[in-house]
Amino acid sequence: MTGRMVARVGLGFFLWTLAQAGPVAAGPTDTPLPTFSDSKAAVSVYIAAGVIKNNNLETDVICTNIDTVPVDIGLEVFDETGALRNSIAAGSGAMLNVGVGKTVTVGTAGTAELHEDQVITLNAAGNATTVLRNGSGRVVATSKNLICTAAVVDKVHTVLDPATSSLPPPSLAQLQLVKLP
Amino acid sequence: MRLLTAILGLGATLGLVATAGAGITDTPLPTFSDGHAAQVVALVPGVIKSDAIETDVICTNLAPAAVDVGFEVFDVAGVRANRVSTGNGALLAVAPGRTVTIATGGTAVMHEDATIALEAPVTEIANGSARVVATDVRLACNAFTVDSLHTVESPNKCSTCKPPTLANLGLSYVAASPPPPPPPPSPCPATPRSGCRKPAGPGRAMVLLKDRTPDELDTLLWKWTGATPTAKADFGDPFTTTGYALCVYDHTGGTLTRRFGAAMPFGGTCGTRPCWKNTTTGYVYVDSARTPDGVAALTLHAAGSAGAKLILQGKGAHLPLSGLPLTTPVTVQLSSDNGPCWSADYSSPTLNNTGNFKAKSD
Repeated sequence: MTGRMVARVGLGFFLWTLAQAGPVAAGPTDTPLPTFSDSKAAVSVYIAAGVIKNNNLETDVICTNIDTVPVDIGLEVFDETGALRNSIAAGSGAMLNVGVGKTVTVGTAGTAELHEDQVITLNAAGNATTVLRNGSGRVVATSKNLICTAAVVDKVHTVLDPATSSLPPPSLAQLQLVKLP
Repeated sequence: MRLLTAILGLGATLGLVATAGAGITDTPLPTFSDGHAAQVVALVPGVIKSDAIETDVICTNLAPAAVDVGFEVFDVAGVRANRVSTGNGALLAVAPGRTVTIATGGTAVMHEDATIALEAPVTEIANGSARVVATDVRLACNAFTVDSLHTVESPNKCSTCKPPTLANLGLSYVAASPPPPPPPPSPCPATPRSGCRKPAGPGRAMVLLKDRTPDELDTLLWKWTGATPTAKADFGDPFTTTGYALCVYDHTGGTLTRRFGAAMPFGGTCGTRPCWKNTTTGYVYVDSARTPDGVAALTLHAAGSAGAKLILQGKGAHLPLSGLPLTTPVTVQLSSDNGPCWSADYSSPTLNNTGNFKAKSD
């Protein structure tokens, strides 16, 4: 068998292997659910398309615990390839033991205008960049009894009194969340 | 005569326009350039492509297979301004989990994967609408109107630079909401396997199920002691080929019906260690994260003269427990991939209510 034939057989086997492989878990629906660092398992509560961390725009998710017991709450973000870019198990994007009635904000970074309790550190998976141009997200928690909203926020501007400042206010837009049953 | 012809022609044209589908609800759905038919995913009011404002729609594929995604925009009169069928406003074969953006034009602050070129007679959309179409309705999307010119600059660098105008358009899903993703396939067959090994006698297998609120408190315990010798080789190779599933069936509707299953896949890493461990007499599976289905531990213990001993423990929200009480008799099986199974029947539970099922085997 010539070297070229071996290479062809090898390439054929490689392509066959790719064809046999099942879909890789990716994105907010089929990526396995995480476990919080206190060993409590998470369930999916909301999904968001359009999570952005790019060009000084960041994404904040604000959730209120409406359960009767404290819950762990986390925000998982995925880049445009569907790769999970933070680890709830490692505490990135997670708030543990959020009391009944309490509200917490998890953001892709700190912003000048809004308050964040926890910010996400992106890992090197997926596109391995430090931005989410075109991302998605998943709110996870130890209970489904949360209400959340999300916003895309300009991270550098604040609202200042126009009588004393000519600086413009920040860009701010709601991000529609999809509540999962 | 020429004037009459023109009038008749104009009248005929108007008549055609009047009867043609228009707008986001009654314009016929397109077919993508790869021949796949489109369905409506979501409707978007307030689409603008005018005065340096563009509209971006960002969608994530929640379906388990690749989908074609398109964004059709309509002007104030309901005239469609782009043809997805020619690729204008379409992205093909978007993989599961991926997120893409289609827009009426490029913007300085957002990222766009595809931009729409308005087609005649539409040259501007001051007051339009749109629909997201795709080959599968399982998409999650957001739509924004975006100032196409400005970017967000730090006021420390540019105190006169104004950030862009940005607003969410509040799209409406045509299905009540994006349909929830299908439940993962059960690791268990629809009906119990036949030919499974049986326990050594009455009471030599037990099962305990606790369905609690919150689900974190759900519990599963199954113990089984066999009647016939079992070799370690009967357990297969859990490191490379042999996964396991615990399957629970009851008599809902009068026939044996699968109620739930919990998988223990072969191989894998649980935390920082391999999920499976070799022992002198068999194998042990330990997963402190209890994924995918809530199983924390499984012990497979072979025995020469007496039968094998099998012990499975599960806990937490990943356990697919629901729908107690069960309809007796109940069958619980531990099934190995392409190998033996171990089964027990339970006709007389000591507990069988909305929160608990506890029984010793027949």
